[in-house]
Amino acid sequence: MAIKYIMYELKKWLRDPMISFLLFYSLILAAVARFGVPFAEEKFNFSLEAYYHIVIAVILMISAVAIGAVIGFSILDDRDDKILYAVEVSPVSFDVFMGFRFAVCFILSYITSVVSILIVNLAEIPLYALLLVPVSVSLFSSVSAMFVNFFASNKVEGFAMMKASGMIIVLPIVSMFFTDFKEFFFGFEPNFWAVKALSVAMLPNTDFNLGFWGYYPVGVIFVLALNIVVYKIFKKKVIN
Amino acid sequence: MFKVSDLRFKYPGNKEDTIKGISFGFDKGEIFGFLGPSGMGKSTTQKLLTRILKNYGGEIIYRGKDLKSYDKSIFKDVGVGFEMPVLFTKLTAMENLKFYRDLYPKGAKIKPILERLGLWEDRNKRVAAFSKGMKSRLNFARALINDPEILFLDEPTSGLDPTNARIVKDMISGFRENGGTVFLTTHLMHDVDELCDRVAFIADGEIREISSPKNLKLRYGKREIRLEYREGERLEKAVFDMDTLKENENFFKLLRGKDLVTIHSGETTLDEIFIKVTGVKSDE
Repeated sequence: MAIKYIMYELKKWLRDPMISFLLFYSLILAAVARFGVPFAEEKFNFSLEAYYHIVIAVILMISAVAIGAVIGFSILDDRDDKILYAVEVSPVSFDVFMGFRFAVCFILSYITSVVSILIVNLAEIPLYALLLVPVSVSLFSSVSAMFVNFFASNKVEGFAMMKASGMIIVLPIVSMFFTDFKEFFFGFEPNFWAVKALSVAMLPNTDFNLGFWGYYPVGVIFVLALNIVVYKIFKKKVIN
Repeated sequence: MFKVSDLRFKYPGNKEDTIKGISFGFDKGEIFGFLGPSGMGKSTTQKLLTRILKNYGGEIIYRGKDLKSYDKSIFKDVGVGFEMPVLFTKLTAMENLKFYRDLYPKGAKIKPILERLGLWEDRNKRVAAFSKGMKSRLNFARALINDPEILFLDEPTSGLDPTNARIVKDMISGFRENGGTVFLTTHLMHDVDELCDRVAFIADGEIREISSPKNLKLRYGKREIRLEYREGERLEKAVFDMDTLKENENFFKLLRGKDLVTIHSGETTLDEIFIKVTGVKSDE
């Protein structure tokens, strides 16, 4: 059942030019970074090594938002096609139907994030950080998918919403330039904690307010709680 | 099979109830027509019976138990055909039906359904490329995909040409003959006349009339016989009271002595009953 469901979803995505582009967007971006960053360093004779962790954080968060948009647009399509009515009168519950989607969203976002980091290959990332940080960031992709559906009733509006939700990744990036207490002003942004944990792992000689295990669990719990709250609002909005 | 008592429902934000304390029931093996003008509560009632809308007042009993007491497994035996097509436009007809069949623990064979509905040749076409009529037929096929025992159909022949409407109506009749139960929501009186064992008329959220089409036609019709006959070059008309017909010598005289053109009873049509009962013209 799960395999069949993924196949139907995949067919829907690949038959839509915008969704299929978003599916591979972060991988393309990672490939551009892999060759573009060393090229720029050589061309301008300037080392970006101190900012490699920021480049990786950007690609990680773009992966989450792009895959969130794939799922968000797919849900928008289903709303357009009134599919949720048919699910309502089937033995499958809305929670199972959507839960499966968000599980796919998380897994896809996680795989894309890890593969993107491996493609970028700019700096050494400890294995635990390579495997754990994408977990936290990928949990944000379902929030992004739901956010698209809060305010949009079609894909044009959805695209605008995706860009708006993409803007939220700017804040954690800015926070990466701070290592003193001022960084916590960005703590309300769900990805702040994950990118800080990434920074700690990638910059072992820099002083941070907390260690990896100080930032990381807060990020995971924060994004999980956000998923629960946002899902409740999303369910109300989408069912009505 | 279903027994509805004092059903009331108000949409959030509305001042008035859309459904105002209606009561009715229908049995297994019956085609029950639920008729009324647009916007008067037909589809809302179907959505309440299929649990798409909740928070209603009154009681809905399904197979002897409160509808609210069932879990989602109730839907394994229920097929719902919505008024609008509920189909993935990016998937093909076959992919759509396979997707929906996979939502249920049991399913119908797809090929015979699509062949009967004339869609087998188009099974690998994406639904986005389908005409309105093709979508409507595929929507009907989707309602049958779990091999249900009860069907809720909202305007199943809407957008269909007469040939395809005939096929759909034959399939609905066949479903009933095989023991199935149908709750049919429509404003097409011709469909009702052909298909329904009993009908309810709803207007302004209230049930105005429930009976069999035959009884309604007799009750709302006139007990009279109208004759048309030739009188030389002219066409004459005569009307006779049905209750005193056997003693009416004039009637028999006309039958024996004149060239009759037409004989009609005063039985009315469902269209006329619809207008009388609901106060609105049907859109047929």
